[in-house]
Amino acid sequence: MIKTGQDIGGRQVVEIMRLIFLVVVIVIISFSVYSYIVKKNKTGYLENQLLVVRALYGGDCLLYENERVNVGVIDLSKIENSQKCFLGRDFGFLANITDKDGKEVKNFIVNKDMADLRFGCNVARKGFYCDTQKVFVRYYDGAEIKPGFLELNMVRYNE
Amino acid sequence: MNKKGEGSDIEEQGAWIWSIIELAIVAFALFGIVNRAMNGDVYDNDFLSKDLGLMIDVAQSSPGELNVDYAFNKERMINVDEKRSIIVKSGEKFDRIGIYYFSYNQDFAILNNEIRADKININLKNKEVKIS
Repeated sequence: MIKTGQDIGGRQVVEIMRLIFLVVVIVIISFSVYSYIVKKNKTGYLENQLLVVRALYGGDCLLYENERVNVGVIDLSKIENSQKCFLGRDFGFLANITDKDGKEVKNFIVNKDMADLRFGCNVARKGFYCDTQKVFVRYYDGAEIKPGFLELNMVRYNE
Repeated sequence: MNKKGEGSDIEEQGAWIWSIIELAIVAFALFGIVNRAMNGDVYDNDFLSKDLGLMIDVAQSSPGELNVDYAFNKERMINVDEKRSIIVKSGEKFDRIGIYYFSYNQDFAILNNEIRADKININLKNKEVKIS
């Protein structure tokens, strides 16, 4: 028996749906393949380390200057500069400067919207790379250079 | 006894042909995807964008001067958005770009035109990072 026009139309709809399904499957497979290939190139830890290096060595941004730029010596009066030295769309951090006994001297936040996500680091890490890096520094408080620590609590989008 | 009519047979044959065409499309697409992935362009673009981007990060964290000659295995298109990202393309059909968002230090200037070359030079002098 020859099918009616309505039946043939219904079959065409099914075929189109199958075709759409196939396209979706191909797209998912291609994303999976490409993600697998590039997933080895995770550089989150290195990128965070470079931010620490920038704080300590990156020109005169946060560093104490007298006759010259004192590499590794953070000038507390320059902390306001931090926003313009660390511009970027996919990272943020809270920085704490403490004295040698661990007492807080100063803190600042870079890219607040991202930095605020650090509260979720212990709950849902997926999608974000969270990292804390603590390094020995010296800081200038307007009177003298003192030893202390710089701790950066960083959050960035996971690649 | 065959209960199906002639029209139904034709329709069944059509369905088979349609299924075979679909299967061919899937096989062709998958072959293309895997082949493109295996020739290394996807990995290379991703790797190079990160490597060059990290170098720009390093240049902006450096108190001194820097001069790096960087050669690729084949010609690439490099595009640096001054304050945002570096994009690496191989320039072929259905290319998958590599992109890296670097952190930007306002004290530095990053100078660049779109480059198409198999090697580039990254130079840092007087807080100017020049990519040529």
